[in-house]
Amino acid sequence: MQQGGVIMDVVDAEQAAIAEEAGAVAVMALERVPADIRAAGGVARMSHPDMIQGILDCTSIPVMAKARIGHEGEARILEAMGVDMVDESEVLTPADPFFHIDKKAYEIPFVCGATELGEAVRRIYEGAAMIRTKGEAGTGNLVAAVTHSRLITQEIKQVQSMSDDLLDETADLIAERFRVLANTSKLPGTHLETPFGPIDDAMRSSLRSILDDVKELGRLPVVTFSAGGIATPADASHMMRMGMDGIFVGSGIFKSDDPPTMADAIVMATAHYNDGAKVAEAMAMTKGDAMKGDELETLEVRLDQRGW
Amino acid sequence: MLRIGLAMLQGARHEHEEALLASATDLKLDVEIVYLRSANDVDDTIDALVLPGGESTAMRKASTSEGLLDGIYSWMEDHVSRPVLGTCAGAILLAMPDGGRSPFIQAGISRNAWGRQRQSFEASVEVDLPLHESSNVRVTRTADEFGHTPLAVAPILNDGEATSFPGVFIRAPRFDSESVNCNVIARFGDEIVGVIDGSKCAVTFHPELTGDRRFHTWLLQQIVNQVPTN
Repeated sequence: MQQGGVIMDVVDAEQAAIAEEAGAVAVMALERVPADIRAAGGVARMSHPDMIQGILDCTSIPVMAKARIGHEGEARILEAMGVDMVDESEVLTPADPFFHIDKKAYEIPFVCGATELGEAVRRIYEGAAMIRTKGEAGTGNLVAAVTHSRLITQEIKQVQSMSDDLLDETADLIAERFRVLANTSKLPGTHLETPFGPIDDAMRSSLRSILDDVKELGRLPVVTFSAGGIATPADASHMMRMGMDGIFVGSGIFKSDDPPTMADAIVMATAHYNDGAKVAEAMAMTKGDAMKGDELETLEVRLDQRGW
Repeated sequence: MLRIGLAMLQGARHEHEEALLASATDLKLDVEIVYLRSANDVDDTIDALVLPGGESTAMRKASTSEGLLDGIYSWMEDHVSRPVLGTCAGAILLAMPDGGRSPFIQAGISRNAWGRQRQSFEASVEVDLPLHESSNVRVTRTADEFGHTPLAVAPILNDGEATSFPGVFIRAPRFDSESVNCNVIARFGDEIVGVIDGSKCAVTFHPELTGDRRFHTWLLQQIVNQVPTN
């Protein structure tokens, strides 16, 4: 029940306590915030279970943790540990170039990233209970978050104006992306099996029914948060004004000069996003600098291009 | 025109709004949903109030800067007979108010007492509230000026029993049966999952996420039925 709230990345029990005290609706337990994952380079994997357990033990709000895209081994560990939600996340190095996790097979819910409507629909079809627009994690640069939010909002409106034929065509187009493995094989003939069942009329009709929900609801049928680049209270307010249900803040809090105050201020700006004076007050609370941030053009790795 | 205050702290707020509008349509009542964000918004013109579910820690915190919860509690003390519906975390806020205030429902409650997300569940609960037409009423979905739109509601678990209600329990709080000293109106097996204490109704599940609107209908009917006290 997290709409209207802020989910914060934390790396230890002390940060988790700061997040809970500030009024976060959940914490994301991970060994390094995205900005540090970027700086460290190398392969980013699921955090060590001891680290995640340490945060589970001391936190009364929901605890999320990240598994690599397509990595069932990691996701099953997180499920067994009893985390409240798994983030199948492009912030970690993807494990499977062909398929995401079959999320319907789990007892706990998943959140997945998306940059456009088709990607969101595929994740929902696979069982995601929540979508976050990807943005570009660890940059403190809002432009990718805005890009993905605008595109998805626009595409929802586009779906709302579609005829039955166009909706079918869209469902076909969305299903095509499940054929990466099939298309990789050089052998004659095709084999269209996926972890979610064959690419057939049943899959297309499931995708179509998600599109029908989108058309009827005028939104994604699951809770939709903004992520990837939110660094200030003003950023949080801006994404709420774009119609997002809530906010993920990764590096923005614990890479700022004064994390407890930044955490308080971002919660306040998210709750009062529509009130310029309150957001100004939240901005004024923050002392020192927000995280430094990067121009997207200078990045060696674009995380938002991981997953499909 | 009835004015229904909706605490916009955090949680499933737009879903409550839709449920209230559906119930109002069913009862042929004119209602205005008033978004409550600061103490100033909670004035004498508010006829009834909804405290949505969310994270109670986050809701308490989000309200501190503008004193919203404090304003809501004062309003409840000033207007004892005006109805309030608290769901999930909203039930906690009714049972355990901050600032040394007396509880608004006589029922002890513990946070997250079912366990973590993995122990969350959906189950039919027995409710002692009449079923109303609003289950079938459709209202035009509306987005606020920023495009925030309610999620779809779960289908009604209608197994032909007018007393069964689809209970959605998400990291739900739990009433302590021993300490419940008011009307029990919802049960899940031996567990008490909903109470009414005078004009206040508290449930540990999320009626706004289902198509069965009887709790919202109850809230509106209380306003219509109540004798003005001030």
